[in-house]
Amino acid sequence: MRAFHDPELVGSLARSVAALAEKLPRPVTFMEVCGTHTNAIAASGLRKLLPPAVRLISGPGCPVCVTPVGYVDQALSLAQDPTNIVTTFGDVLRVPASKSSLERARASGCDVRVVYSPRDAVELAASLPNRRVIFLAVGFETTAPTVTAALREVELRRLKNFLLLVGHKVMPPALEALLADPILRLDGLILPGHVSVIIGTKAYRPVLSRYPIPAVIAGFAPVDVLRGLLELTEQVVEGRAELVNLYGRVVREEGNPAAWSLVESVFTPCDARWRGLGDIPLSGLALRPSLAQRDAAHFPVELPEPREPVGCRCGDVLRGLINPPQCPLFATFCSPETAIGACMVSAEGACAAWYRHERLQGAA
Amino acid sequence: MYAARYRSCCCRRPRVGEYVLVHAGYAIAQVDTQEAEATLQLLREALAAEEGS
Repeated sequence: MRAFHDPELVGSLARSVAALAEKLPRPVTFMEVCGTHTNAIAASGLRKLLPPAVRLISGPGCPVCVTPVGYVDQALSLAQDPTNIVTTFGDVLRVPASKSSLERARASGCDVRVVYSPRDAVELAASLPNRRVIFLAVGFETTAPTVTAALREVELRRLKNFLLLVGHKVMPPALEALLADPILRLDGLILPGHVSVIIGTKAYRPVLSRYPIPAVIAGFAPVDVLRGLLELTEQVVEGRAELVNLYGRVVREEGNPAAWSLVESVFTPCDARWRGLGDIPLSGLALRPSLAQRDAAHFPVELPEPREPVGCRCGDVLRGLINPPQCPLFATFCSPETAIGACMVSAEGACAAWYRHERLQGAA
Repeated sequence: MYAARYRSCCCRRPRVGEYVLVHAGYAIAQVDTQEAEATLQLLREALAAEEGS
């Protein structure tokens, strides 16, 4: 698979994009909506290879970044109960809550543990039957099947002390919100590769028929991304708006129906709040009523009024309205070491990726 | 110990020599290596034709 990083192929594709861009009627803005794309594009320095007429921005593709502050507040409150062990993917740990963060709660004695897979949380629940293990289920369609598999396993093993605080989100309704946004005028979308592995090409067709726009499903290697940009540019030049799957090695029209039906067996769509995008109908997943005993949201906890960090413009970054350096906190008060906003905390966040890879490259 | 009960795949169980896409400890898709090769071949041909013209 190294061939998808082949410098010669990359150079040649970049030249093709530049040549084609000369035929563009106007400068264009393409958006990617996947944390892995954000990171891969920043790390490979691809933006520097693009002609000035092709602007590539990040959207709400980082699951931790779009998780609203109220969710983190809830996790923090659950962590205060000494019976509970809050388990989470690492990057949620430092996301600022209204008053503190899980990392600070841990430092003050709360039991908060980082896991790499929901399965680790299952094992923890098995080994500590007198404790209650709460897994912070954050992520898009890619992550939901893994959480579902873990849930099925605890059901099978009758581990009653494993619960979820569900913050799962689904992508198509968020794309619809972006495309309907009158301020944000996008010329093309690079759709999330690994989300598409699960939901398939077909999941985007309804949204894209309501809001026709050039769209590609692309992989994450430089060759994949450039090929996607070439396709989008070509469509704009030719005045087309089609959905093209360029990630055929793992994405199929129907996705992974086995994985998605597993998800649907335990989750049901619900309205959800996204940082930056606000409330979007049916853009989240909730546990089915039959699994209510697995839902950590049922515990009564006291929550502060949700408050985003002062001056933080993560919301505008997530909507693609500004690039990270346009936030006054970027690289002044907010850095990966002293992160104020979620987009700087998560390794998949646009601010963190920009800070690590592009800050010194002079890209803007 | 629990291996038999584990559901480590959210896709068809792979055979030795096949590639899978792994996310958060679970295999979520088989990689179609033929499709990958075909993609690369097509790209190389198209780009060679373009640069040659």
